Amino acid sequence: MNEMELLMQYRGKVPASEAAAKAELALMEAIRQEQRAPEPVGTAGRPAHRPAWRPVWRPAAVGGLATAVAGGLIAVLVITPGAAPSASALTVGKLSNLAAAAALRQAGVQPRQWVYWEKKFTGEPTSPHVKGLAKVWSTADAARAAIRSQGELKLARCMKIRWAGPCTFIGGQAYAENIKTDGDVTVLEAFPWTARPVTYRELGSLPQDPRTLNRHLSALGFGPGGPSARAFTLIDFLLTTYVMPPRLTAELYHALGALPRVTLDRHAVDAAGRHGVGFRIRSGTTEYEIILNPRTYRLMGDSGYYGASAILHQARVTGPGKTR
Amino acid sequence: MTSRSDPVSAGLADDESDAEVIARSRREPEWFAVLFRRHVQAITRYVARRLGPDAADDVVAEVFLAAFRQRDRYQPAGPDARSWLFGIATNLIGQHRRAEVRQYRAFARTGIDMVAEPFTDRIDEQVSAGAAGRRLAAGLAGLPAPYRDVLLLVAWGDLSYEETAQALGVPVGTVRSRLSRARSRLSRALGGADPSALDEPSPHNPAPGQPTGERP
Repeated sequence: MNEMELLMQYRGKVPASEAAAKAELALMEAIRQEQRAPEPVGTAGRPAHRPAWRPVWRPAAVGGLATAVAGGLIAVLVITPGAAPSASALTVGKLSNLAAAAALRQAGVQPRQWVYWEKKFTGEPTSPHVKGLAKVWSTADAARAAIRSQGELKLARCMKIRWAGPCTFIGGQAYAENIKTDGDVTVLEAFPWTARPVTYRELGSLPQDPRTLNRHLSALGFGPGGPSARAFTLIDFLLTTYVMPPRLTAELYHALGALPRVTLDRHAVDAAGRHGVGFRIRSGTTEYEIILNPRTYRLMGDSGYYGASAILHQARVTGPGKTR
Repeated sequence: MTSRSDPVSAGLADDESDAEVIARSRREPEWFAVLFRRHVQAITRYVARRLGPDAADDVVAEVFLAAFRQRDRYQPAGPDARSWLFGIATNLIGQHRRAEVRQYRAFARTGIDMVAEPFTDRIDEQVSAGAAGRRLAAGLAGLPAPYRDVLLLVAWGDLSYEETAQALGVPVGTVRSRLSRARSRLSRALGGADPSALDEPSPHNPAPGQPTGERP
C-alpha cells in the first residue's frame, strides 16, 4: 500500500458530526439578515416582483434547538406558502421539497397522541369492511386504535399483526375493522404491504440521507416489484399509518424525491374524487401513488393494488371518541 | 447519521448548475441554500478530517458564510463550485495550521486517530493500520503547508489536479510538482520507494509530471 492508498483509507474515517447542522444555522441567519436588510431603491438587477415561487430558509419546528441539532440538519429549504410553482414547472424533486417543507410546518407529535381520521376507500381492498367511509381513532404510533361499532366505541389494543410481527394498525387505519380477537391477542387479518413495516420506535434510527434511506427501505421488502417499488410502498405505509415527527415526515418526502422511477402525476385523483399532485411508480401492471393536496402539499390520499384512499379529515384529539 | 457520499441537492434546482444557483442567489439570497445542500457533506468531511470534529464545527460554518459573502465575486471555473468551496475551506484551515499539525503529531505519538471512529474489530488490522498511520501522520506533520494542501485536496477532497489548481489559484503544473514532492516525502516517511515512479497514471489524475524545480 503506498501513501496515497493509505491516505484514501483515512478519508472515509470521519465520524458523523454536527458541523453541517451548525453551519446551516449560521448560514440561515446570514441569509435572513440579508433578506431583512432594506433593499436599495432602484437597485439594478433586483426583480420588481418576487418570483412565482421561491425557497425560504425556515427553522424546522421540531422541538428544542438542542434536540434538533443533535438530530441532524435543523433548517431546510422551504417554499413560501401560496407561491407554488405552476403545474408545468413542478418536478418530482420540487414536489418532494414542497411536501417536506409542508411537513416541517406541522407541530411535533407524541407517540401516544390520539388522532381521529375520516378516510374514504374505493377499489378492491382486502376486506369489504374497509370500503366506503371509515371513522377511526388511532395513536400517532399506530399502536392503539378504536372504532365505533353499532354506536359503541370499541378500543383495540393490538398485540401483534399476523405475518407482520409488530403491532401496527396498518394502512392508516384502513383495516381497523379487520381487528379480530384471538384469545388475548388482537390480530389484524389483513396486511397488504409487501415490505416489513417499520415500527414507530424504529423511525428514529432510519438513515437521514434520502438515497441511503431508500436503499434501507427497499431492503426491508420481500414482495414483488423492484427496489424502488418496495421503498415506495413502504414510504406510503409509513405516511398513511403513522403521524410522525415533522422531520421524519420531511425525510420520507425527500426520499421519495430521490427514488428512481418515481414520476410526477399532475392530474392525480384521490378516492374522494379530489384532484391533487402525486408521486407515482409502476410495479408490474400496478401503479402506486401518493397523492398530495396541490395547495398545501400535505398528504391527501394514496392508491395501489388494493384500491385508493382519501383522507377527508384528520385531527389530533384528546382521546378516542373525540373528533376535534 | 447522514451517510450520503454525493452532494445533496434534494431535487430543488436540480437542473441548474452551481454557477446558475450562485448567480440567482445574488438576487435571492435564499438560493444559496441549494449550494449548501449540495456540498456541505463533502466540505464537512474534508475539514473534519484535517482539523478534527471540534474545529470543524466552526470552520465549516465559516466556509459557507465566507462563500455566501463572496458570492458576488464568484467566477465559474468549471461545472460546479467544488473547487471554489474547497479553496475557501483550505484557506480557513490554514488559519488553524498549528492545530492541524498538533493533531498529526499526537496521532504519530500515540497511534490514536482522534478524528476517526473505530473501523475494524480485528486487533491485527488495528495494529497494522495504526503503525502505518502513525508514520503517515508524522509525514503529514512534517510537510510544508503548500504541499500538504495539494496532497489533501486530492486525497481527502477528491479533487482533480485541475480542480486543485483552481482551488488554490495556482497553475496545474504547480499542483503536479507539489503533489509529486509531497508524495515522495510521505513515501520516505513510510519507509518506501518514491511512489510517483511506481504508480500507473489514471484517466482522472494522470501521473504527476517531472519536478519543475519550482520551490514551494
